[in-house]
Amino acid sequence: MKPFLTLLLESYRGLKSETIFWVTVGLSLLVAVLFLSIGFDENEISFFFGATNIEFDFSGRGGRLVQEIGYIMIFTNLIAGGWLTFIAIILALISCASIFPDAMKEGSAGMLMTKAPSRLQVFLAKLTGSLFFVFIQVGLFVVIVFVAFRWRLGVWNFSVFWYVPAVLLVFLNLYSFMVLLGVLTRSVMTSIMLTMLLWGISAGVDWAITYHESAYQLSQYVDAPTGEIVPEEEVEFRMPEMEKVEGDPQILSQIGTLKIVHSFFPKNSPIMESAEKKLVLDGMAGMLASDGGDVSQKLEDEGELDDAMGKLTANDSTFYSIGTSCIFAFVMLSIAGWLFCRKDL
Amino acid sequence: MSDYVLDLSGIRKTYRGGVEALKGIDLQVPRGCIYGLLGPNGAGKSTIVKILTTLIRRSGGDGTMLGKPIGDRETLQKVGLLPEHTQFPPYLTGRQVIEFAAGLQNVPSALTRERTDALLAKVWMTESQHRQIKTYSKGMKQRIGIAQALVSDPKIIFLDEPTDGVDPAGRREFRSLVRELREEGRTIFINTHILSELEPIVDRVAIMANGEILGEGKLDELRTEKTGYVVGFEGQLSAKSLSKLQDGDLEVDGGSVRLPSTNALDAQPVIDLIRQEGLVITDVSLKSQSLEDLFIGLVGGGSSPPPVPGNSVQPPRIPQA
Repeated sequence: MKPFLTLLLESYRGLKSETIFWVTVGLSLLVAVLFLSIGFDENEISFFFGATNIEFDFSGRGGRLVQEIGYIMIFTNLIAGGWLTFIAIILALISCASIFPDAMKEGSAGMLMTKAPSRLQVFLAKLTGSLFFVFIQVGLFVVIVFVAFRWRLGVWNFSVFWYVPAVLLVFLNLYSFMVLLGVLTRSVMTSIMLTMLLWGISAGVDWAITYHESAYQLSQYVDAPTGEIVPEEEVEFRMPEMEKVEGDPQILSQIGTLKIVHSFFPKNSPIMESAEKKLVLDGMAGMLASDGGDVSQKLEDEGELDDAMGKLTANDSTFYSIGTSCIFAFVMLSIAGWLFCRKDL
Repeated sequence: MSDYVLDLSGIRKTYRGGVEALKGIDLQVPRGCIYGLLGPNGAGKSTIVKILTTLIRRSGGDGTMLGKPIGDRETLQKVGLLPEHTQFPPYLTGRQVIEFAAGLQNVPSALTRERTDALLAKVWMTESQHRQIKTYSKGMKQRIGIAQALVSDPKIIFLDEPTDGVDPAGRREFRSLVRELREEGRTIFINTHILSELEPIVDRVAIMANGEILGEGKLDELRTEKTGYVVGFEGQLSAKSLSKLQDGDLEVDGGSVRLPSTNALDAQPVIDLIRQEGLVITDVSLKSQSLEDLFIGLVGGGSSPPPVPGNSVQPPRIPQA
């Protein structure tokens, strides 16, 4: 155990010695404090601890619930959707990218791999060190957000802590691929570039699925007299004259293909959405989630959704997204670990 | 218990692409000696150390280290290594590097502080122990490298090119330290291509090139094989005399003739022959071969030794200690 803890401590020291570590910590704190600086009272929203104010009459618009919705929307769209999902993870990936290639350099391998701990222990310690780094970063950030909710809205919203495991899992998905590349190529730059490419492809497939699903749903509504598909922008206004029919089977088949492709990729957006579904607003979880969160799940359970889509979305559960992502990370790390233990250094 | 801390038999290493780094190495290293592995760059010296310390996998052969099969993790706790091109984490201080190595080698915490202090003193680094590694000179890094290799109280220490880039004063200190380690009963295995580094301290030496051991034994015994009278002269020998000397297995090199004999009587006919040619004898002395002569004799001259084909070079037969 002592060698493992020694390796863990050294990994942490290594990260701490990098400028990017402190840049990431600093930016994290800055974003969290900016969120903390947003305040509400009955007549206005204030920013930067009251330095700037926008007049807004909350009393006539539902009062505190609207404030809570507004604050949570800022959190989900900007803080979680922008900072936690992208920038913080990119910074964490860059910070941790050199850990494995560095450990395999001739000079440092002589120090690390010729002593009592096995190579597998070294591998696991380095991996744990990286995850610990991200845990510290995200944990600190979420604690400030948690305090912000209490301070600004007067509620202890423990549901924000769901973002810690969600971000860790998204990071692990991408990092597992990065570790494999790092072990294979021993090149920091190659592993960063190809990981970003994987992320891009994965996001692209995600987007394509959403796009096709939306197109399929639109294809289900036709103009009652003519039987023509109603254009998207007219759906809202022509609802009374439309009827629901079976959707376009071609789109359905495309969605099916995309979902098969998607099953091999890490599911970053669905994982972050699963944290969003857990966010509690006025005592209910998932009110603001893009698919309705618990509400949508309830409808699904009651068989209210379209049958064909229902079959396709049956695989969209949180369990499926997390499960397949964990399998992806496990496979990547198993190959990387195996190579790490066998490679000549 | 075997008298050998290292007993290797037929160790081979072929890298991807078919490069044969080791072509069947047999090596026995006795306990408590300073053992030098000498060879030009690319001879395969570091490959041997890397196989023994599990940095690379062997393609064939077998062996034991401290009586256990090569690669045994527990045995590695009794092994110290100063790798070639050592890179310690630059953000650590000298002291932290030693403590880090102690942690990796599972040295009890109570012992770590005591040993670290003692080792820092041993390698003359007490004063600089709290400076970061990145501020150290090459020599200071090597000293810390030796200290971290010793922190687990190893029975055998591998030093791979330990004085590469170290100044003459540092080399002298290094030699004194290595002798001290031998007196403590440890076995020191030094890989180097710097001949002068080994000659004053080494007990046994193996000379290797192109993945093969060309000669092995005690230094004195290796030298004895080539000890003999050298007759120096001024002038040019006639072709007839030259041929006569060479037919007698004598080495003629410019203005000297080397005899494979330590008997003064054997030198008389050579002296007579040179005198008959009307040349002046400048020196007659009994000379033993230096390590450099031995090295060049086995490996070949020039910075890059000539390739050694298959089994055409037979290692000198040396009686075992």
